[in-house]
Amino acid sequence: MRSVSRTVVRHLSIVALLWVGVYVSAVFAADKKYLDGTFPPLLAGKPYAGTTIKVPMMKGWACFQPAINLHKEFEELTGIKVELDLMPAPEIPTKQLLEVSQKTRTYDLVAQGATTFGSFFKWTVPMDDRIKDVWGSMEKFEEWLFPAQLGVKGKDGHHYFLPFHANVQIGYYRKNLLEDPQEQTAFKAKYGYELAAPKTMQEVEDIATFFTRPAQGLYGLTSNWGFGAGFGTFMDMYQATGNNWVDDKYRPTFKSGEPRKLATQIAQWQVDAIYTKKFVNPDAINFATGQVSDYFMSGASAVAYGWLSDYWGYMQKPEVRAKIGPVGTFRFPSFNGADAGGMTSWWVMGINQDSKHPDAAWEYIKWVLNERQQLPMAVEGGQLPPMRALAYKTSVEPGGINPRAMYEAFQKARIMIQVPELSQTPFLKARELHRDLMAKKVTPEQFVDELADVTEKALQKAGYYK
Amino acid sequence: MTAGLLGLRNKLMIGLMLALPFLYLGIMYVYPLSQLVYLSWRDFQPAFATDDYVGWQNYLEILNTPTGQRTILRTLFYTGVCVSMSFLLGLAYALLTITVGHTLSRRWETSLRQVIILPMLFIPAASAVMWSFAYTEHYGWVNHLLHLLSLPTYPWLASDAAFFLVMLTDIWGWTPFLYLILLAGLQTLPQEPLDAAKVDGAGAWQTFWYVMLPLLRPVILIALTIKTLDTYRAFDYLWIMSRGGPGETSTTLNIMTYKTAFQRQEFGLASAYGVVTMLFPLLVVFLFLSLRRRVTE
Repeated sequence: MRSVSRTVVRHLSIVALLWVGVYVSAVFAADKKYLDGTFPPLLAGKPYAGTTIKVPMMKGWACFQPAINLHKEFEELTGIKVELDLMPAPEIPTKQLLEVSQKTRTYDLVAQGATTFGSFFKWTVPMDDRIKDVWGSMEKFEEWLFPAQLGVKGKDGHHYFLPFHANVQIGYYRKNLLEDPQEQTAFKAKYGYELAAPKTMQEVEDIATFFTRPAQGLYGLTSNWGFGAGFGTFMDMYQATGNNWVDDKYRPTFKSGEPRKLATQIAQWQVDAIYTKKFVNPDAINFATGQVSDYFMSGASAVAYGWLSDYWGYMQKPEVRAKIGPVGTFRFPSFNGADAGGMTSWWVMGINQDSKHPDAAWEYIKWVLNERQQLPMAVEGGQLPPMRALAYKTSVEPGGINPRAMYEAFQKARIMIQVPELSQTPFLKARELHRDLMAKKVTPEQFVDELADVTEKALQKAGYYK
Repeated sequence: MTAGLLGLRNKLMIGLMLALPFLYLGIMYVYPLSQLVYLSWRDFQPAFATDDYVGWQNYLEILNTPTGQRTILRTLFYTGVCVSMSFLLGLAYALLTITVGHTLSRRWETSLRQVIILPMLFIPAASAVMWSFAYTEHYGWVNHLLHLLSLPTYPWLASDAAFFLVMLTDIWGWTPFLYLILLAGLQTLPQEPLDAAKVDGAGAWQTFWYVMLPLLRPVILIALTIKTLDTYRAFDYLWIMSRGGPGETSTTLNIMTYKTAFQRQEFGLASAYGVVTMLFPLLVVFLFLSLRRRVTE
């Protein structure tokens, strides 16, 4: 009888303890605000279950596709359904701008690149309170990201956008050419120094010239200088000299003096590279990034310069390696030897004033920033995560999938659009002017001077100065 | 039911049936057009949050600036060359087809017809992509052929030749359309005038110029009108092959309208371009209607 009682007591105790444990867990679960394992943290309890948010995004964008593939997980975690409106890249700024400015309530958030976000400040809401709620303070938030985030702050000092994608233009080269012993011997005999990834613009030119072999269908260098995208490489090279588009008085820096000389030199270099020195393929003036990548991966150029990280994954594929061998990367040098950092691509999301579900949209933005999504976007899409620690993990730590050169370039890379108004007429006109430059319809001097003129007119109209 | 009521009911029915197409016209044509004209008088730029009445300023910007003037002239040049070349080639192919049918056999005629209309199997966008590749400096078969013939290669679409190559592609793509219309016209010509001309001792050229062409006038008028309206609105070939470049060397009114609206986001100015773009087709249709009466008489 005594032994039976002890057994019964033991069993009853275990059951009681289990019930206490379940009760305590339920209490904790009920009080738990966020889902475990998420950062930025997602709200627990699915408070927005049944909501559908409409999200605009670029169609066919390899970098964001991994996140799209995980949308089902987001829906299971939050109960929020995501309706994507995928649009071609040229429509991204215009379509969203029309919808939010006319307050059609079509979208629940906006997604823009670092060159067009400026047009959306009037139509989006500040995110400071939401940011502080998650990160505790603005300083911690800004420290979590690369300094480029400071470039997308509003003039009022508030954050209107959070980044979900980072990219930077670096150089890519075929190791089987630059590290080939015979090529190295021949190069040294001709130029008097060792053949390696270039560290100066002269070395870029020498290497590109050395590997331009029309008989073999090989050009030394290719880049995306097409349809105005070349303005991005122009600004990357210009910013790398330590100059920005406008100074602290909002005047174009390239209007006079040494910066004008540098800007003209860069523009001239781009033109000469195709027409005079001929080490860049002429078709480059029609190339977008995908075409640069195709060209480089087909073995038609020894070096490529541009936004090729989207295709970094493809370059590692066995069939591509079989054709062009392993690919190395390098930070593109600056024209004056400065280590100032170039231009960054920095795609951001913001919540528009007429969003039907701003809180649900905020959950989505936070979810996209989670490592669970950012990692495949880096691995499969080739982007650099905009968060410092994760970017370090993907590019510097052993086993990282991003090129190290990207992380290094990002330390000082800056947003080109320093004030919102630069996103509008100046940027659009700049692309047209650069296209005219590459078609030799304007001289480098005319290009720089007209760009300075259109910049001043736009900022004067916006009231930055009289 | 009395006769009066019946008459009223019929009138109501007729009125309702007529109202439907007018309603359609109103929603699908009048309203969008009126919006276009309305916007053309405004400086509507969402990025600047501006929506101000500016009167004729947008039109002045188009008509009084070198860019606007060049765009208009370029569009007329593109239309003129493509239409005339497509017509001449189409007519030549049609005459060839009939000659082959008469001199060889129906089978040869059918085969020739199938070869000539091959470009029509491709949608314009696909053709434009195909020809873009053909003209690329590195991958294109055009340069490959030149290389095989030991001739210098050329960056075709990265040069001023781009505009002319797009016209060539347009002519290649649309000649079969004119060819079919003209062939149908030639095949349905009455035989008696042609026999009479032969009896009178007219040669082939005289028969063609003095007998066939006048009889073919109504068909030619329709073919040219359709082709002119279509070519004037050309977008796909130009956009895919050259994007209006290099620079603005192949920018026509449609391309300019698109760029002004969707790249520069100046919707007021783009609407003015749209209105200006509309004027020429209106003129063509007016000419067609007035010429049609004279031709059929």
